[in-house]
Amino acid sequence: MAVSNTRDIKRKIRSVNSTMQITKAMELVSTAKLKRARNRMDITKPYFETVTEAVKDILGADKSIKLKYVADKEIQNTLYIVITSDRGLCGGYNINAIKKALEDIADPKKAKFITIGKRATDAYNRMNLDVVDTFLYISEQPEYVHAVHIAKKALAMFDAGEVDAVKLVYTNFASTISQVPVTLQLLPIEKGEQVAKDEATDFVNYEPSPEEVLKFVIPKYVESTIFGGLIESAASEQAARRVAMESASDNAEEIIEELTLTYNQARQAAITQEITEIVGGAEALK
Amino acid sequence: MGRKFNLEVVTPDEKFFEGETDMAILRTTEGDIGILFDHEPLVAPLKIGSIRIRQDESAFRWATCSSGFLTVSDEKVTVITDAAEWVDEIDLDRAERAKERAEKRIREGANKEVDVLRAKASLERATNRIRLYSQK
Repeated sequence: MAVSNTRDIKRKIRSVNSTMQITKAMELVSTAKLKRARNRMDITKPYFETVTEAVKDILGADKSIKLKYVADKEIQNTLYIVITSDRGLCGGYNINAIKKALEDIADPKKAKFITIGKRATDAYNRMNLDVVDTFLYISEQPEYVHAVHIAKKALAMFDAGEVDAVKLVYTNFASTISQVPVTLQLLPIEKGEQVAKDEATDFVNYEPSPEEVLKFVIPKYVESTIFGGLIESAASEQAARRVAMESASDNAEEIIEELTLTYNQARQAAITQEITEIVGGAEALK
Repeated sequence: MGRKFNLEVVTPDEKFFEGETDMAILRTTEGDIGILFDHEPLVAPLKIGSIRIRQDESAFRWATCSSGFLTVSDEKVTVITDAAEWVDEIDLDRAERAKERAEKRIREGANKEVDVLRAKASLERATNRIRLYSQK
């Protein structure tokens, strides 16, 4: 290490130490927040799953349904809803989601964005991409109304024909140490594998008609999927931050250890030198 | 006492109800429907209204229900709604306040840029709560 002056080393140790205190505190905070976010995820998951299942069932059971939401025409303009956090210091969480969306885009000029969280907003604005709407300060504690607003905006654009596909990019909470960004197509809805199933599916009654029901159910589906994505991303964010802060703390500890060693060596060298000088001086006086 | 079936009421914030019942009455966009054991498979949107669930021999348990939809399958009945609330848990003051607020919004709707549709929906929800509360 270049610093050999004991005072400099000491100062450096102190600075690393105070940084470590911050990262440790942040780690604890995100651990607590992660717990809350996971609880929330467990509560909302049934809703999210039931809605998705219901939509899949309806679309799978009835092949005659013709609706613009399930059309399979060619996709020209895509609207991306990208969920990131407002704050950094969470490892690759934000950048992974931002990149994931970009990977999917064939022609950046035709893509439109609704961004959630400051990180994505700033990133796409810097790239001069078309950000049509942004939602800030909701990513940490998303509420259902937020999802409703986002869905409304997306559906309005879809209905007006400004875009012909809507995709959601969120971070899937695989485990506390692994979060994977995912792109999910919201609209038009892919009919899925259910179509391949044999014809023996039950006859289901739709009141008043399958089209009417779908007209109602699909916006719900979009809302709930966005909500599910928000909730899951919130948990992922905390998990990512916890891991990032944990490794930062570990790293700080390592640096401190190394610096302490260097400090002790330098101190020892100084003492040895002093003793040599004293002995030398005494010797000369004889 | 009829045979029982499984009923599940889910909202974004919680699993509101999960259990057995022998009869449930819900308000769909086409009108009230009662569901008994072995109802034919059905999917229908729900209006802002009430959910009535009968458990044991006792009377119906009432709950408010915001918009959503209902699916009946062979195994169970699932109600998906934005919000549900047992009648005895209704906060009347809050409902009254919401009603006033919504009415004001609708009155001012034309000149200010307010979402009248949203205000109307919120008014409907508030009146629904008040109505169910006073029936209790």
